[in-house]
Amino acid sequence: MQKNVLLIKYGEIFIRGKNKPKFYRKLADTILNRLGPNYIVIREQSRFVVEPVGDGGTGFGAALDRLKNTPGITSVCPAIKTDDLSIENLRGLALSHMVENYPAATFKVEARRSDKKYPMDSMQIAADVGGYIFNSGNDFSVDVIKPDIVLRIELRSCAYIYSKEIKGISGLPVGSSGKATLLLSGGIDSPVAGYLISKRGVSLEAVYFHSPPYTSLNSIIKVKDLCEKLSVYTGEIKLNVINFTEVMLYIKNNAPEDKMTIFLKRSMLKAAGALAEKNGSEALVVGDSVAQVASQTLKAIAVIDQAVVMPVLRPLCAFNKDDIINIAKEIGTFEISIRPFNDCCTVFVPKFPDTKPEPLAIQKINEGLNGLSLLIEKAIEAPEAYAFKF
Amino acid sequence: MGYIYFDNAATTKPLDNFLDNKLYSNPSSVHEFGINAMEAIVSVKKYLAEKIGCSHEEIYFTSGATESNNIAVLGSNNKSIITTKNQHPSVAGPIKALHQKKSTVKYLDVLGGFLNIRELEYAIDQDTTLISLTHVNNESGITEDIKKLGFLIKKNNPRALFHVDGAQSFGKFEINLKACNIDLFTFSAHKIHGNKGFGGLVINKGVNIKPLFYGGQQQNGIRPGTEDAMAALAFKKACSAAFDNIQKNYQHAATLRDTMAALLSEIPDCVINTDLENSSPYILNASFLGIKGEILLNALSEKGVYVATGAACSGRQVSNNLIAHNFPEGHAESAIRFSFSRYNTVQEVELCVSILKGEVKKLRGES
Repeated sequence: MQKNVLLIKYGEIFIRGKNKPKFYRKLADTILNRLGPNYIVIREQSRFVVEPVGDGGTGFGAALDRLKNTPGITSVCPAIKTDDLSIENLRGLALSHMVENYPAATFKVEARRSDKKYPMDSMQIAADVGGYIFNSGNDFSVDVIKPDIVLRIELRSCAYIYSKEIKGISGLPVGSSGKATLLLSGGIDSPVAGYLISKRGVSLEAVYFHSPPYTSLNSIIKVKDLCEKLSVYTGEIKLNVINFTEVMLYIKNNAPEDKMTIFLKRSMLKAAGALAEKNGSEALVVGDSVAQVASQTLKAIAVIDQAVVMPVLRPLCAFNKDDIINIAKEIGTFEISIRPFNDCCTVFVPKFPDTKPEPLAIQKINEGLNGLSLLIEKAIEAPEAYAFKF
Repeated sequence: MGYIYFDNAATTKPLDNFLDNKLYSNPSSVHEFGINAMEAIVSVKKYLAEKIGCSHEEIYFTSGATESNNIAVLGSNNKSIITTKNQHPSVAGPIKALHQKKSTVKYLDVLGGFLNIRELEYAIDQDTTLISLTHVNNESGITEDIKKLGFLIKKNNPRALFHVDGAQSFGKFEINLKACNIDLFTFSAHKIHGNKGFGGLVINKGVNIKPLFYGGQQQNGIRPGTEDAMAALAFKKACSAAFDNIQKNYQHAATLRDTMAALLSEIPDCVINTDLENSSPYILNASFLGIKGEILLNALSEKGVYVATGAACSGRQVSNNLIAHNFPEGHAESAIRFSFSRYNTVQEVELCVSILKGEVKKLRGES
């Protein structure tokens, strides 16, 4: 019996020592969750195998895309699986795989066997099948140095034959490293920060600060679209939209102009931190890159982070703008981020922002802003929530 | 209801049942059904020709004003162009593209939205091949005296082509293209309660236009592609409703605009950017100083009042068009465009201003 399957390779889990089983389970669950009920996942030694339920069609198109964008997976190989390990069967399947996929090519065969009792060793299997394909009368010639096609045969409990390996995004399965709350602004950076952190196995919940009428409805649509795009990589993601107008106006009217942004960001962290505690997050994630703008200088970061106890992760802290943009383009968030709508950070911008705020001064001003905490609490009482799943 | 729509310069509500004919045959088909469709299209062109003072053979239907402006600019002899700095992107865009390639372009300043006639005359020389101007500016409503400009252009260089973008004036202002010396005239259906994706370009006989794309011989090969009799008939309905009551509609818009202008004067630091004497009554552009236009727009939108800052086509940023008007500092950033149609009422204007008063106060932190 033979079947079309997807062979899944994963990387970093290898180094996880005793925790390995937890990671395996997480990855298997993630795969099942992303592919839905029409597929099953089987564990082979150092591989997962995705099979369609029943005889199944050959339609792996959407499944393939989903898997290659799943953190924890290093590559996905569309393969033929067979439980008849006889060399005659392998020869036949290998040849038909070549004929179906390539009109003409230079190739070589690479074989691996985990069953050392198999009557032929890896070299012999490769030579045998390679010879069979070469002599089949098709337009295939052998090139062991730089072949167009490397046909791989893996003998495990079943045999797998494949010639394409589609690179995944690697990392760790989402959820295996806990949960964090991502502050999404609608700009270019924060979705990229979310993407990178989710590749480290962190599951995400997002928060957006809306300030009508200073930001338009289109900004919410933009952030929703960003979440939808992010969910391709992060899996299900919940977005909380918080109305921050009152907080913003309070800061504008009560804080020194040059420190407005600092207090706004502190308030956002506070609000997100409170939300994060409720939703079981262990960290906050922001899109800052050191010295990119006035509120992202080291001194500004220091006084902003003082507003919360929870760690604030900045996965982009050492990235250049160009590099961030390249990733944003790769993951498809760039086009959404550059839509010309104001986000919450761009509406009230001081003309000469303080780039070197002193902790003591900030603390003193903060003491004077005694209405702020209540406004923040009020703002996070009932966020509008949306869920996105790819 | 439940909302006030004052964004009629962006687009208008289509007439009820405007597309109730079933003339779907291909007008190029030689059977009777096809011939009927072609006759219908010709009849629409004849009707229109009479209304705007041209021959029906000079009318080319297009997908709308953007395409028409592109054909006019890119398809004509465009070696040496004169235009103003406050053009719609569908004129400014192709001209910029030509400027980067080979054409010489003179951009005239506009003060308060008006071009300076002396400057125009000074700019025209014997090499000038195309002069592209707008009848009614889409953002400010400022209206040029097209007849006078046409006369002066031809006086200074009879060979220079005169292109007029009439998207905001068509069906609202009476015009006679021949009397105005217009060689190329752009119009659009959806600004007068017609169908989107439909408009046209009038090309004066004798003007040589290169098509932008090639296909069959429809519309003399200048604008090939299967013609749409259904859309043409729908467009005619919109035209009749506009042209048959052109004075009445104009008066109605003027009443709305003037009422609005009077009421706005009660709002402190609200300035009308438009010279009411010389602008279309269908558009009123006002600035609420100190408040970004976009923010006020959002606030009004939440209350069900739909207006615009710049043109809808240029997104939410302050448009180059408005900046080029050279209004006093701070006006362009805080400008709001109210644009009216015959379906708007004085009550809506009153309601709109009372909502405005509240929102402006709130945004200025006065309440």
